[in-house]
Amino acid sequence: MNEREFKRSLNSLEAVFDFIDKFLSRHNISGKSALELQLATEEVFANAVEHNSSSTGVIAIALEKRGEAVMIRIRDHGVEDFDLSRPPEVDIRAPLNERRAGGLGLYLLHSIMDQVKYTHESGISTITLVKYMK
Amino acid sequence: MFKIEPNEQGVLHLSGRFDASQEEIAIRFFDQIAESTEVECSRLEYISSAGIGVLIATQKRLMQRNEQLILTNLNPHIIEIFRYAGLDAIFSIR
Repeated sequence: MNEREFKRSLNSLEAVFDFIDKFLSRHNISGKSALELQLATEEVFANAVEHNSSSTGVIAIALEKRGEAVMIRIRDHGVEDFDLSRPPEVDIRAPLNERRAGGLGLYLLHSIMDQVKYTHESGISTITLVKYMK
Repeated sequence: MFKIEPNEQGVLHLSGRFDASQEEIAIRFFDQIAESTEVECSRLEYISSAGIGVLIATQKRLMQRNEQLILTNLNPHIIEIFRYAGLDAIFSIR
Protein backbone atom coordinates (compact mmCIF):
# COMPACT_ATOMS: atom_id res chain seq x y z
CA MET A 1 0.00 0.00 0.00
CA ASN A 2 1.15 3.50 -0.82
CA GLU A 3 1.10 5.27 2.59
CA ARG A 4 1.86 8.84 3.60
CA GLU A 5 1.80 10.63 6.96
CA PHE A 6 0.12 14.00 7.49
CA LYS A 7 0.26 16.51 10.30
CA ARG A 8 -2.94 16.64 12.39
CA SER A 9 -4.36 19.87 10.97
CA LEU A 10 -7.06 20.93 8.52
CA ASN A 11 -4.24 22.82 6.79
CA SER A 12 -2.94 19.39 5.74
CA LEU A 13 -6.01 18.88 3.55
CA GLU A 14 -4.35 20.43 0.50
CA ALA A 15 -1.53 17.86 0.74
CA VAL A 16 -4.08 15.09 1.42
CA PHE A 17 -5.98 16.00 -1.77
CA ASP A 18 -2.74 16.17 -3.72
CA PHE A 19 -1.89 12.64 -2.53
CA ILE A 20 -5.38 11.34 -3.47
CA ASP A 21 -5.45 13.14 -6.84
CA LYS A 22 -2.14 11.54 -7.89
CA PHE A 23 -3.51 8.10 -6.95
CA LEU A 24 -6.77 8.75 -8.85
CA SER A 25 -4.88 9.95 -11.91
CA ARG A 26 -2.56 6.93 -11.83
CA HIS A 27 -5.59 4.61 -11.86
CA ASN A 28 -7.72 6.64 -14.31
CA ILE A 29 -10.44 7.21 -11.72
CA SER A 30 -12.53 10.32 -12.35
CA GLY A 31 -16.06 11.71 -12.09
CA LYS A 32 -18.41 10.42 -9.41
CA SER A 33 -16.04 7.74 -8.07
CA ALA A 34 -13.19 10.25 -7.68
CA LEU A 35 -15.43 12.71 -5.84
CA GLU A 36 -16.72 10.01 -3.49
CA LEU A 37 -13.19 8.77 -2.65
CA GLN A 38 -12.02 12.34 -1.97
CA LEU A 39 -15.08 13.02 0.16
CA ALA A 40 -14.78 9.83 2.22
CA THR A 41 -11.10 10.50 2.93
CA GLU A 42 -11.71 14.12 3.95
CA GLU A 43 -14.60 13.20 6.24
CA VAL A 44 -12.48 10.67 8.16
CA PHE A 45 -9.41 12.95 8.21
CA ALA A 46 -11.38 16.04 9.36
CA ASN A 47 -13.18 13.96 11.98
CA ALA A 48 -9.81 12.80 13.33
CA VAL A 49 -8.44 16.37 13.43
CA GLU A 50 -11.52 17.80 15.14
CA HIS A 51 -12.27 15.02 17.63
CA ASN A 52 -8.72 14.01 18.56
CA SER A 53 -7.20 17.48 18.73
CA SER A 54 -5.20 16.69 21.89
CA SER A 55 -3.18 14.00 20.11
CA THR A 56 0.22 14.95 18.73
CA GLY A 57 0.37 11.82 16.59
CA VAL A 58 0.29 11.86 12.82
CA ILE A 59 -2.56 10.70 10.61
CA ALA A 60 -1.40 8.22 7.97
CA ILE A 61 -3.34 7.58 4.76
CA ALA A 62 -2.74 4.59 2.53
CA LEU A 63 -4.39 4.01 -0.86
CA GLU A 64 -4.53 0.86 -2.90
CA LYS A 65 -6.46 -0.52 -5.86
CA ARG A 66 -6.98 -4.26 -6.06
CA GLY A 67 -9.00 -5.29 -9.08
CA GLU A 68 -12.23 -3.28 -8.96
CA ALA A 69 -11.82 -2.38 -5.28
CA VAL A 70 -10.21 0.82 -4.00
CA MET A 71 -9.08 0.63 -0.39
CA ILE A 72 -8.37 3.67 1.76
CA ARG A 73 -6.76 3.04 5.15
CA ILE A 74 -6.53 5.90 7.62
CA ARG A 75 -4.46 5.34 10.77
CA ASP A 76 -4.99 7.88 13.52
CA HIS A 77 -2.12 7.77 16.03
CA GLY A 78 -2.32 8.50 19.75
CA VAL A 79 -6.10 8.47 20.13
CA GLU A 80 -8.90 6.99 22.21
CA ASP A 81 -11.22 4.26 20.95
CA PHE A 82 -14.11 5.73 18.91
CA ASP A 83 -15.86 3.37 16.53
CA LEU A 84 -16.62 5.02 13.19
CA SER A 85 -17.96 1.85 11.61
CA ARG A 86 -21.50 2.47 12.89
CA PRO A 87 -23.38 5.13 10.90
CA PRO A 88 -24.75 8.01 12.97
CA GLU A 89 -28.49 8.56 13.10
CA VAL A 90 -29.34 11.43 10.77
CA ASP A 91 -32.93 12.07 9.75
CA ILE A 92 -32.54 13.09 6.11
CA ARG A 93 -36.28 13.82 5.86
CA ALA A 94 -36.27 16.29 8.77
CA PRO A 95 -37.35 19.85 7.99
CA LEU A 96 -34.65 22.49 7.75
CA ASN A 97 -35.17 23.92 11.26
CA GLU A 98 -34.43 20.49 12.75
CA ARG A 99 -31.33 19.86 10.64
CA ARG A 100 -27.90 19.78 12.27
CA ALA A 101 -24.59 19.72 10.43
CA GLY A 102 -23.18 17.36 13.11
CA GLY A 103 -23.03 13.75 12.01
CA LEU A 104 -23.58 14.61 8.36
CA GLY A 105 -19.99 13.82 7.36
CA LEU A 106 -20.03 10.32 8.83
CA TYR A 107 -23.55 9.75 7.46
CA LEU A 108 -22.28 10.62 3.96
CA LEU A 109 -19.22 8.40 4.50
CA HIS A 110 -21.46 5.39 5.11
CA SER A 111 -23.75 6.34 2.20
CA ILE A 112 -20.98 6.47 -0.42
CA MET A 113 -18.62 3.70 0.70
CA ASP A 114 -19.28 -0.02 0.23
CA GLN A 115 -17.42 -0.99 3.43
CA VAL A 116 -16.34 0.93 6.53
CA LYS A 117 -14.23 -1.10 8.98
CA TYR A 118 -12.73 0.05 12.26
CA THR A 119 -10.17 -1.33 14.68
CA HIS A 120 -8.35 0.23 17.65
CA GLU A 121 -5.11 -1.11 19.03
CA SER A 122 -2.23 0.40 21.05
CA GLY A 123 -3.65 3.92 20.71
CA ILE A 124 -4.06 3.71 16.94
CA SER A 125 -7.49 3.85 15.31
CA THR A 126 -7.51 2.24 11.87
CA ILE A 127 -10.37 2.99 9.53
CA THR A 128 -10.46 0.97 6.33
CA LEU A 129 -12.81 2.07 3.57
CA VAL A 130 -13.61 0.05 0.47
CA LYS A 131 -15.31 1.29 -2.68
CA TYR A 132 -15.98 -0.95 -5.67
CA MET A 133 -15.56 0.77 -9.03
CA LYS A 134 -18.69 0.21 -11.13
CA MET B 1 -8.13 26.73 -4.54
CA PHE B 2 -11.56 27.68 -3.21
CA LYS B 3 -12.98 31.09 -4.12
CA ILE B 4 -16.15 33.01 -3.32
CA GLU B 5 -16.65 35.85 -5.80
CA PRO B 6 -19.70 38.11 -5.76
CA ASN B 7 -20.59 39.84 -9.03
CA GLU B 8 -22.27 43.20 -9.55
CA GLN B 9 -25.73 41.58 -9.66
CA GLY B 10 -25.20 40.08 -6.19
CA VAL B 11 -24.69 36.54 -7.49
CA LEU B 12 -22.08 34.56 -5.53
CA HIS B 13 -19.80 32.46 -7.72
CA LEU B 14 -18.20 29.52 -5.93
CA SER B 15 -15.22 27.80 -7.51
CA GLY B 16 -12.67 25.14 -6.60
CA ARG B 17 -12.73 22.84 -3.60
CA PHE B 18 -14.95 23.74 -0.63
CA ASP B 19 -13.40 21.55 2.07
CA ALA B 20 -13.09 21.77 5.87
CA SER B 21 -10.00 24.02 5.64
CA GLN B 22 -12.16 26.69 3.96
CA GLU B 23 -14.99 26.57 6.50
CA GLU B 24 -13.97 29.56 8.65
CA ILE B 25 -13.39 31.86 5.68
CA ALA B 26 -16.70 30.81 4.15
CA ILE B 27 -18.62 31.35 7.41
CA ARG B 28 -17.33 34.93 7.60
CA PHE B 29 -18.60 35.51 4.06
CA PHE B 30 -21.95 33.70 4.27
CA ASP B 31 -22.78 35.30 7.65
CA GLN B 32 -23.05 38.63 5.83
CA ILE B 33 -25.80 37.41 3.49
CA ALA B 34 -29.11 38.94 4.58
CA GLU B 35 -31.44 38.30 1.64
CA SER B 36 -32.20 35.70 -1.03
CA THR B 37 -29.02 35.08 -3.01
CA GLU B 38 -28.10 33.02 -6.03
CA VAL B 39 -25.05 30.84 -5.39
CA GLU B 40 -23.66 29.94 -8.81
CA CYS B 41 -21.72 26.68 -8.67
CA SER B 42 -20.66 25.79 -12.24
CA ARG B 43 -16.97 25.95 -11.22
CA LEU B 44 -17.44 24.32 -7.80
CA GLU B 45 -15.49 21.05 -8.12
CA TYR B 46 -16.08 19.60 -4.69
CA ILE B 47 -17.89 20.14 -1.40
CA SER B 48 -17.68 18.17 1.84
CA SER B 49 -19.92 18.13 4.92
CA ALA B 50 -18.04 21.18 6.27
CA GLY B 51 -19.07 23.23 3.23
CA ILE B 52 -22.57 21.81 3.25
CA GLY B 53 -22.82 22.77 6.93
CA VAL B 54 -22.09 26.42 6.05
CA LEU B 55 -24.85 26.35 3.42
CA ILE B 56 -27.32 24.70 5.86
CA ALA B 57 -26.60 27.27 8.60
CA THR B 58 -27.07 30.14 6.15
CA GLN B 59 -30.27 28.64 4.74
CA LYS B 60 -31.69 28.18 8.27
CA ARG B 61 -30.97 31.79 9.14
CA LEU B 62 -32.40 33.15 5.87
CA MET B 63 -35.55 31.01 5.96
CA GLN B 64 -36.51 32.61 9.30
CA ARG B 65 -37.07 35.83 7.35
CA ASN B 66 -38.53 34.09 4.26
CA GLU B 67 -35.33 34.49 2.27
CA GLN B 68 -33.21 31.68 0.85
CA LEU B 69 -30.09 30.55 -1.01
CA ILE B 70 -30.70 29.45 -4.59
CA LEU B 71 -28.03 27.02 -5.78
CA THR B 72 -27.52 27.04 -9.54
CA ASN B 73 -25.47 24.99 -12.03
CA LEU B 74 -24.31 22.39 -9.51
CA ASN B 75 -22.21 19.56 -10.88
CA PRO B 76 -24.46 16.41 -11.17
CA HIS B 77 -22.12 14.44 -8.87
CA ILE B 78 -22.48 17.09 -6.16
CA ILE B 79 -26.28 17.06 -6.62
CA GLU B 80 -26.13 13.32 -5.98
CA ILE B 81 -24.27 13.93 -2.69
CA PHE B 82 -27.00 16.44 -1.74
CA ARG B 83 -29.63 13.78 -2.52
CA TYR B 84 -27.91 11.20 -0.29
CA ALA B 85 -28.32 13.63 2.61
CA GLY B 86 -31.84 14.75 1.68
CA LEU B 87 -30.56 18.26 1.04
CA ASP B 88 -32.28 18.59 -2.33
CA ALA B 89 -35.49 19.03 -0.32
CA ILE B 90 -34.26 21.99 1.73
CA PHE B 91 -32.41 23.94 -0.97
CA SER B 92 -33.72 25.45 -4.13
CA ILE B 93 -31.47 23.82 -6.76
CA ARG B 94 -31.72 25.07 -10.36
